Amino acid sequence: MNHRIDIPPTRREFMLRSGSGFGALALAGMIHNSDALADQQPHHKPTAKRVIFLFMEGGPSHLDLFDPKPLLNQLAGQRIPESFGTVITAMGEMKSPLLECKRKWAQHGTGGLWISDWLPHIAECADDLAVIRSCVAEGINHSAGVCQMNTCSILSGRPSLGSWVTYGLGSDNQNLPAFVVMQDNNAQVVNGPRNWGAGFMPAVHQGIRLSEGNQPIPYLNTPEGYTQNRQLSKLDFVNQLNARYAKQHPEQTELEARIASYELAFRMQSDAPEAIDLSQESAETLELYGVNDKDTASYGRLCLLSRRLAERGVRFIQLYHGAGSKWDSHTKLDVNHSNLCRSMDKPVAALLKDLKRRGMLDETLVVWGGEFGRTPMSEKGDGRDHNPSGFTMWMAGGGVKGGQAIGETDELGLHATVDRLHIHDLHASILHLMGIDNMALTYSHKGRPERPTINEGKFCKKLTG
Amino acid sequence: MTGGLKDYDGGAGQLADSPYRTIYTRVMRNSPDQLLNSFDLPQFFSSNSTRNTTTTPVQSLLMLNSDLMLGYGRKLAAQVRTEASDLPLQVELAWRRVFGRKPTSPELTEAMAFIERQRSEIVAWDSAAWNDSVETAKLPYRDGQGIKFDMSPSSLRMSVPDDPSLECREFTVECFFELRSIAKTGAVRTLVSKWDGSLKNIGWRFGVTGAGSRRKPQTLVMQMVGMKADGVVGEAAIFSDQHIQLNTPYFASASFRLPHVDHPGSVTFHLKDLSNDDEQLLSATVPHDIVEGMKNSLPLTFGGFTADDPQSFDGLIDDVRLTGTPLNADAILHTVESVHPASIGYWQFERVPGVMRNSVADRLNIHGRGMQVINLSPAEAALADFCHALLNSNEFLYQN
Repeated sequence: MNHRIDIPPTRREFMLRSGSGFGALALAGMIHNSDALADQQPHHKPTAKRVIFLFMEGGPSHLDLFDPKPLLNQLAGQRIPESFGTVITAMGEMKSPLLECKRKWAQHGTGGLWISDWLPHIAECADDLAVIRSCVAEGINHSAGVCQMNTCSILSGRPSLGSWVTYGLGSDNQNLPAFVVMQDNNAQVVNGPRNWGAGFMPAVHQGIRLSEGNQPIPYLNTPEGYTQNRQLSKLDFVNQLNARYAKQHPEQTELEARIASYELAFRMQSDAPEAIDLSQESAETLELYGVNDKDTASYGRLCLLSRRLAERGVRFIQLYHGAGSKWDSHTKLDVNHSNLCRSMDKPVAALLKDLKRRGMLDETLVVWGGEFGRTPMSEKGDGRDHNPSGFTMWMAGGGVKGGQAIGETDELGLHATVDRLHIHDLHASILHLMGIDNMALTYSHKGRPERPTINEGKFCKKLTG
Repeated sequence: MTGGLKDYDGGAGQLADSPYRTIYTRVMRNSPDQLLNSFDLPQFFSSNSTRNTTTTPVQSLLMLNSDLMLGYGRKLAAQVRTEASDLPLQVELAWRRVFGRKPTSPELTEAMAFIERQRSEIVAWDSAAWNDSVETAKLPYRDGQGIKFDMSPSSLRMSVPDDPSLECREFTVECFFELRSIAKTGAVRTLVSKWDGSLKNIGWRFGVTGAGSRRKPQTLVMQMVGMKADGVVGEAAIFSDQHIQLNTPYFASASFRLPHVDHPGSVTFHLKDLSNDDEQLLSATVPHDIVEGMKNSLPLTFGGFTADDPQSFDGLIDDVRLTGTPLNADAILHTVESVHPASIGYWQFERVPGVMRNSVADRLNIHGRGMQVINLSPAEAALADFCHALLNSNEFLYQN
């Protein structure tokens, strides 16, 4: 007979396996961890199941897109009157002459929203938009601004909004990440991956950068020169090793979680390429998003991809437009914005229309905006400086009442004056629409209950009418 | 474990891809190391009382498919091969290194069966379709794979054999790179060349000058030998005057223009520090006095002169593109990352179409020589698969 006694080979294992002492303590944490992505109950009934956040990186000019200011053109070329107060701007343009807006404006939809001629396609969706003209942020440079728009704080280190949503609600799908980030070009977004990082929360909540092409997720592909058989055989052997080890250590649930993670990785290898395969879309849909036109192809593909991911249960999707601060128009704003608007307008409108006709807009919250707006004062003659003290964002779908403008800036669009909506409030509102109470969702970090909006922020009730 | 770890008692921080304990690792908060980051590396913005431990499919993909982990598998296999000659003993040695114990008899049997399965799979596979490959590394602030060069004599040599299509009168050479050291002398760290270094022979190289350069230290240089207006072959070294910092990822390009009725011949440099969002793309156009295209029969070489050059680049090189026309800022690789209509070669070092393959067309592929070239027999590759599997196992991940 073979009397084999399994002696725990390490001190750590000995502790884990001896009685219920340390092992039981560790177990609690591990069970919690392995369930971190299970679908969870919201705090109240949500109107939005998912978010598509269209991030115009670099700061689009609200004064030339959504917030018309007749006084600006009357005073163009003059210094801003002292009555408007003083702000510190990134490039110190407080005393520069006011820059006229060359756009033609019209009211759109039954709600009569003002939208400039740079956005003819989005204007067709005016009755779906709730345009918030009174947004306020604190970051005067890109790094702080983008950081705050993603994490609520201008200081780095906090979890991103998508991470909080993933933490609060878990994943709504089995084979894809819950939080996905894509960008329209390969330049690095200001701050890089920490914009979708999980901060002090576990890495399981961080956003996954998805890219088009042959390898949508990093390291998804089998190594070069490997046959499928060779890869599968290796995976089998790893599973064989893991199964044996798990049998010897039944109290370690983390082992099961890791086996499952290899299985999920394998499912991603088959499902992710399908999710990003646009060849299954009709010619009409591709045309709608402008996929065949070189100006709109890049963001058109992303918008269409985001609809496909939304259909597959991805909860939080962030699409960067103008990645690498391309919207940052310190000079030649007219050239810069007209190019960027052309590449963004049609795809974004297509996303709204497509979601609507598929019956998905009601439960999909689309958010549009940059990290700040731009100043009424000119910079270098034909540009505008950063303006976090008053700017525009809009929301559509997900229970939001369209065709309305919320809040106001002053007569030159420098400061938000009526119904000021800080980024804390913006995030609280997005979370609210998703069924999360921003004050009730906490994560214990270093003995302190941390909240997504740093203990501030209120739901803007006007959003739902 | 794989025998690669270097002893180190304090001193300057080390890069994440070098074999030092992670306590010495330099952290770039906007471009964290992928492996460490996926395993809950703290962000280093504020203190952390505990290390999170999560289990994600991203980790599994990295462990299973990344060149880094596959490379560790190969290194471990190479290590045990030097310690024992017969396979069961090699398996046992690897097992002891990874798990700290001997394999049981059923475990040994399973392992041997797995290695045989892999070996026959590799043998059965048509290796004719297979180009050689090299160990890759990741350039910070960039996705995908790049190539790591070091100063050892056995370091990598990568070159594309000469071809008529590589001869262009005017051209643009571009790449992403990170320099790890510069020469104390004036010697140039070469990024891309088509030259043998002799001032008598026509050719060019694009690189970074050394600290002792009497003309411009630590800056981009396009060093050329070609026909001048007086009909004599001579040297023209053109400097961008833009300072290159060590351990910093950059995009750099040089566009070579011949003289024309309305403008002199010139080299236009573009340089972008990828790690600094606030810094703009820098440009500099400098005239030269070469009047003809620089044709020769030498290979196009990355990270050095011709393949026999004892000196090599020190650091990382990613995506190299050669285009048969001088490009302006609106068409360079930093602005538009794709094949330009006039591109001759675009070598991206990615698995698709292949680390050594040209993305423009299936020709002008790279040939490599040196320690980083992966060239394993089926039996060696099967043992490496086994070692890689051990490093993916829970017994390894949760016990060490």
